[in-house]
Amino acid sequence: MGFDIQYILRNLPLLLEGLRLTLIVSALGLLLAAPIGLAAALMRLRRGAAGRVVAAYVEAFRNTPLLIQLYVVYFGLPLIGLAGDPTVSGIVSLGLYHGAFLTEVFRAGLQAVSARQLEAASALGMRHRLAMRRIILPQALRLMLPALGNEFVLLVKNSSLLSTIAIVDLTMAGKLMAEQSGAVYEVFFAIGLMYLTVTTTAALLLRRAEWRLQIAE
Amino acid sequence: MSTEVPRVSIRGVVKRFGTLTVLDGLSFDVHRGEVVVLIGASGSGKTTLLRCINFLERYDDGEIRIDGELIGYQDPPAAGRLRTEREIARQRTRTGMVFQSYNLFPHLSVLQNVIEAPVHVLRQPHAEAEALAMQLLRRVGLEDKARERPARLSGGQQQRVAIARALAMRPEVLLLDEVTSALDPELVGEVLQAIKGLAEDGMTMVIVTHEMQFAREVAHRIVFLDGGRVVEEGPAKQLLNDPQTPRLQAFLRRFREGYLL
Amino acid sequence: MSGLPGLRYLPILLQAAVVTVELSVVVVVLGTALGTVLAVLARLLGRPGGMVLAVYVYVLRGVPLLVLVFGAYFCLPLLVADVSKTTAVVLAMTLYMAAFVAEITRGAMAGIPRGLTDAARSLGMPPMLALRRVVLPLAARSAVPPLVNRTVMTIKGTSLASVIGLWELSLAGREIIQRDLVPFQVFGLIALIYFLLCVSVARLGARLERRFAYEH
Repeated sequence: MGFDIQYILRNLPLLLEGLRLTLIVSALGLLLAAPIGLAAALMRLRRGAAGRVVAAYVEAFRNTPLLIQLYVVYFGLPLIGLAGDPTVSGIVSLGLYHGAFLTEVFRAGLQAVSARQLEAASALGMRHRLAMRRIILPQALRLMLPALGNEFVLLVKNSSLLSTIAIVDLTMAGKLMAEQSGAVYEVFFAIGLMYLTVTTTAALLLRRAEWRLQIAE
Repeated sequence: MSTEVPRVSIRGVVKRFGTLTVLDGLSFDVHRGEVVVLIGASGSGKTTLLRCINFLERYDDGEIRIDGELIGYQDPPAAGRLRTEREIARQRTRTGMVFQSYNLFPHLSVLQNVIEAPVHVLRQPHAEAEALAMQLLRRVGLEDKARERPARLSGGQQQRVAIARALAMRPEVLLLDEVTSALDPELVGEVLQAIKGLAEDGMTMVIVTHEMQFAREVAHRIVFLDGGRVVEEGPAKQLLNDPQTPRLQAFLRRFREGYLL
Repeated sequence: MSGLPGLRYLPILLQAAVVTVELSVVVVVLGTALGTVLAVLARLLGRPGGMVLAVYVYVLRGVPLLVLVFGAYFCLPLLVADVSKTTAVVLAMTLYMAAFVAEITRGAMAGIPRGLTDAARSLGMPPMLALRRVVLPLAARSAVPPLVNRTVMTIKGTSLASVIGLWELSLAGREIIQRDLVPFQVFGLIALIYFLLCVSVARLGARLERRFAYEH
């Protein structure tokens, strides 16, 4: 039972196309999740009604499977008149799901930049919003960068679920190839390797970015 | 007395951490029932030596023997072959150690801390171990805390429990590593009292401490270490009152002037 | 929408929920056992053990769970004759869970202050005894929160079994909406069931944490 590298190499375009879609969807998902998370975190810190709504959003989206959320968006939106484009559904789902996790991450980050910093800023006569913008947020963002990077890795892995709504991402490409040929070991080895590469690259880039930010300090 | 095998015999002990030589050919003896106090500046190797005696650290050269038994390495030591894990563990039951940060097991009660090793290492029956443990706790004045968790005790109380825990193994030598350094000043006295009691009962002890007054009261002999070597040693009061070597003189002078500690 | 139309699907969904719970329990138990064993073995084997474990954790965590499930589903039949979908899913999810548990356990053991292991050794405890009586009990306490979190993830992860046709809560939902076009009701109800399962586990975990708590 030889290892049929040839099969992989012949179908490399399909795999790379899948990888490309995976990366695009993941990037767009993160682009949606980050502002959602940040906005929600800021609202959460204020207490009151907005805070409770955000808390409910976070609890709901973190304690239900992404797959179910995906199905709701994909199968449900057409019923209320919104287009059921799978890619858009996928990105929206990923954005909402990871937005919930990022909310907590950002909230912790913002609170970690100590309350003393806020006190110092107020003592200097800064109003709350200015203090947030100039003092708290920049420091918080530095703390949150690793978390964002980690979330991106999780996002890439979760993007594999989009294969269930007929998006030909890396996982779907692999599944199609596995079904059509007998070269199942080779196929899954290949896509496993590709995901690992993405994961590793993201982790390395993240470490470089963290290192750079610390030098700038 | 001179033909008797010393309780602890340390000969030419060398210990390196990478390129740093912390112990550089140390030699001295501790006789049965003797209390030896090690003094010296930080970095002089006092704690490292203590940790070599019960082989928590491996020494690289020389010999450490307890009642003639070579610690950590197979006899003859020329081959430099280590003893087995089991043997080393057994050897450690002959010494007891009390640490600067007490290191009581947080998930066990005070009583359970004391009987843990006798029951599971020496395989003593539970009832017997408990009886001995209560006796020891009474001796250090903590029998009413037996069922408490360590976290609810003060530092001084925890340290006294640590002493009882070490004694429960009936060690031949007790090793005390800066046992009062982490304590609030008002709690130091109770621990020193407990140690004095042990000295009066004839316990062989090697003590590392900063408390010069305590050293003066409890030590039979004092060994002054500097740069990983024994620079001066002698009877306690004599050494402290009349230091011979310039380095010891400088050390004691700095100490009196408050530069240390 | 009059009343709660989704309710007529409740019986079948509850049946499916039982499958979900069964899957979760099996995976969590097996995964925790395997992960703990791996972490302890790695610790006992020193440096090489730690490196092998690190590679295992790295690979298993760097690849999507869905890919592992597909991989098991497609590749296992080539190795073993009669492989059920359940076996494939349980295998994939157990290996995945074990990677996380191993990392959690490793971290918990490493987080134990060195002074405590010093004390255990100085009392003459051989390594295995010290592990059993001091290291593992303390590591278990600090491992509870991340393990509870991982359990919640596992419950959600069982939804992936639906993708290879294993009947559980998510697949039950997809089957229903193929007949009746009521995605919001059905998936809403399903989401609620998952939510209740996850939150219950989280609550239990919090209670467990409090039982173990002792002030440091």
